[in-house]
Amino acid sequence: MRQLRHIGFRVLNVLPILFLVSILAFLLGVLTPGDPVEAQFASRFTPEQLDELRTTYGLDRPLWEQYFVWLKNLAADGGGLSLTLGTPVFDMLVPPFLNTLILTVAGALVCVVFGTLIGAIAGIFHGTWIDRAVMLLAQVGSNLSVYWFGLVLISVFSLQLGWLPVGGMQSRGGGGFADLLEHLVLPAVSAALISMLVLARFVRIGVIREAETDYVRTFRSQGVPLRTIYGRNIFRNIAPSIVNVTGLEIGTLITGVFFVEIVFNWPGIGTQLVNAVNGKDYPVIQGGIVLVALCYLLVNLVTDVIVDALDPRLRGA
Amino acid sequence: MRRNKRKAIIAAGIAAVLLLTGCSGGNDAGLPVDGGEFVTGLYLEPRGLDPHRQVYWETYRVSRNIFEPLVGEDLTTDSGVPGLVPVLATEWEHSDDGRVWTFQLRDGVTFHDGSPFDAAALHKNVRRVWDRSYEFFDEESAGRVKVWFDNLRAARPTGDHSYTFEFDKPFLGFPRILAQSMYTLPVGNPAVWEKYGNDGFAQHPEGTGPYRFASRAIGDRIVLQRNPDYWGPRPRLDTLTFRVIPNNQTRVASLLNGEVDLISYVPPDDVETLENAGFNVPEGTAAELVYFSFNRHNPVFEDDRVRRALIHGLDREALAKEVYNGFASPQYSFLPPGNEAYDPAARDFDYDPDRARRLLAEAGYDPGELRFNLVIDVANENLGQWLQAHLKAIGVEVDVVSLDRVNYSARVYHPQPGDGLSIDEFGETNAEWLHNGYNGLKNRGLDPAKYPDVTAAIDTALHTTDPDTRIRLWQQAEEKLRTNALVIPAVNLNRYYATGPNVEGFVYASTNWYDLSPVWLSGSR
Repeated sequence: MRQLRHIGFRVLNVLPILFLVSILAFLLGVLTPGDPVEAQFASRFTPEQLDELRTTYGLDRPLWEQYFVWLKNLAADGGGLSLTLGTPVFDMLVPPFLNTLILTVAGALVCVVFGTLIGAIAGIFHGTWIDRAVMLLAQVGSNLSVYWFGLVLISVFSLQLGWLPVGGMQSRGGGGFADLLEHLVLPAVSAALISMLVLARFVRIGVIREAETDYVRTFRSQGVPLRTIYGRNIFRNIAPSIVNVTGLEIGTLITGVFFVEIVFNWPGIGTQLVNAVNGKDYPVIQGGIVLVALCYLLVNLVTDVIVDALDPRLRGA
Repeated sequence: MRRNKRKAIIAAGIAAVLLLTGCSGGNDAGLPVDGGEFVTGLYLEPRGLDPHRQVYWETYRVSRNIFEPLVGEDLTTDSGVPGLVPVLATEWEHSDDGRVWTFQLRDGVTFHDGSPFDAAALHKNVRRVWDRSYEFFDEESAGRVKVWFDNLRAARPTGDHSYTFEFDKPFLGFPRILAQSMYTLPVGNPAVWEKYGNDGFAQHPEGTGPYRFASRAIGDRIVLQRNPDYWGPRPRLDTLTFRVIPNNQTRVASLLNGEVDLISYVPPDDVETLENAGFNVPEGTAAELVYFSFNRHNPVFEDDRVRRALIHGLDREALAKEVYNGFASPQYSFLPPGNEAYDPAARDFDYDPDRARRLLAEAGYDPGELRFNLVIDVANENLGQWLQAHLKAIGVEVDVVSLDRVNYSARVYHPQPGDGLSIDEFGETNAEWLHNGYNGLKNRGLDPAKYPDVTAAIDTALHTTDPDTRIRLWQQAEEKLRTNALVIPAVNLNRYYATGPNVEGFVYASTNWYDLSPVWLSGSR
């Protein structure tokens, strides 16, 4: 019951933040340089025609009025109409947002599974050549550009070996979970790369530190099998921090996902937002900011709740 | 189980036969095959599929399969000016003074929902873009066609399948303008905007075309299906899928990997890779003009000698070779190939760097003294850097200001002090395009009052009543524009599409778009 109240309190906390985000999103969209109407139409329209279009899109009204029109659009009208595509903003953003979510979740899975695995191996074999090799790879890997890494993956696994598709989310005929998985492998690995290596280092240090604690020494001296020590004790102790780091890293991962979407032509929200920014399509930029902010807030919320559940010591905090 | 096995053997046999015929088709181009799913990789997300609001070439490459104009162009023509062909109008005529145009509309044509296309339906299309008293008048559409319909005095059905437009002034270019991709009048189903509203049309695009809209996932793909009730020749392909692949490398890789059959905007560096791998990168002369505009708010360009010097100082042969790997042709006229008034012999000013230096000296500039900003869209960075190095040779210092598309557009229409040249792209097949192009230069600060001869020449050509002299009048107008050094034509792109080895019947038409209905897929790839 107490925990439920605690979660409820955190959810309520999100609301004022969302309100602030809506104001910020609106202002960011409106105040970024460049006139949206000119960006879209100027090359062939006369100045008078441009003014008429500004009236059509309500751009001649005062800012506060535009804000309420926008809020109304957001709540009731599919987020308004995109300037570049002329279609409702939510139609443009919600399906791609779900696609981005699929890629982010896949990336997060790759990050957690391989990050933990790599870090644990390095930590367990601390000081050996295995540790050094893994660390060297991590060092090199975390300095790679996601963009470049993605192109290398395409070149090797799609064009040379022909194992995986170049991009997109479905094949010609389309459909099927297996088809989706095939399309997901390379983008998920690219998206996860940096966060995975950060997590690996974190896990490695955690393992090394825990291995040097008194209780582990005691267990060892008592002849408790290593597998039990690592599996049951060390990992249980570092699990909350793995979740925590993963939660934090999801921010980095989402940023990486945006680049990955461009390279792999993943129909996600990143590509849409890049297009929107390029086209000064401010209704889409605004809608996108609200969606992404919502996503961040939810991830933070869920991370907090999981960490609380895993670590009883934090519950009162 | 046994039956399944037998079925499998039969299927394998059929597949083998198909494969063999397909292979032979690859050798001697064979007989066209019906069916198949054709996938196109676009470089740009199309705009909403609303016939009256569309912009960008890529939009029309999709939407023209759904919507049809009254008059079209012959897209089997791969060079020169495409002839006009009847589409939703079977014939058209104009009054002696060229002001009144009457179109006979094709009988027996239906929209995709089965409702008939007739003069009443056409009238609603016209009213949507022109008549403020119409319940579904659309400001945005009206803004787009205003350049042509501003002069429209009346428009009305003159029978069930006959329609008349009456202009204030003679307008002989009208039919070809109807055949263009945007800022014109492809016909949509009025029942849709009456049901879903003007903004809703783009989500339910319905016309009379050979393909029907099936689905759209923005950022991913648009799927069209063959229209079984199409009035014209049956298109060969079952479905057309347009995938949006903005990243150049990914688009080329998708073609190489067989995931798409056709791509647009092939990067010049990839042309040879694709050809070596057995893909077709057809050569064409469509209207794909790249040109440099002067910022006429900058007083240095008020001196004719300066503008002429910059044109004399530009080696367009070298530009085509060095920046575009030769996959572009030097362009000396503001009317590109494919345009009905294009004159291959037209020359503005030859490449003559000495002359350029002399003209600058006469205008009072010592070497290195004339300095301005070259404002470019990031996509043209290589071209910008080339131009910077190139103009240095005639003693002109250029600072490249590279901006994203939005800020580029905002900056060229609201230039800062010191801004000089900017890079633009455009081209259409109608001679009247010059009128649009001139408007564009006016938007960049050119004062038409200073060039009464150019303005008058354009006005004369636009409203001539003599069809025999119309093209010559446009060429004269272009010559006036050219000799006044009002713009710098640069190159025309000539490798633009690439198709898979199994794509047959694709024509790189001399327009800026293509017709997919005669295209078919042979079995082999």
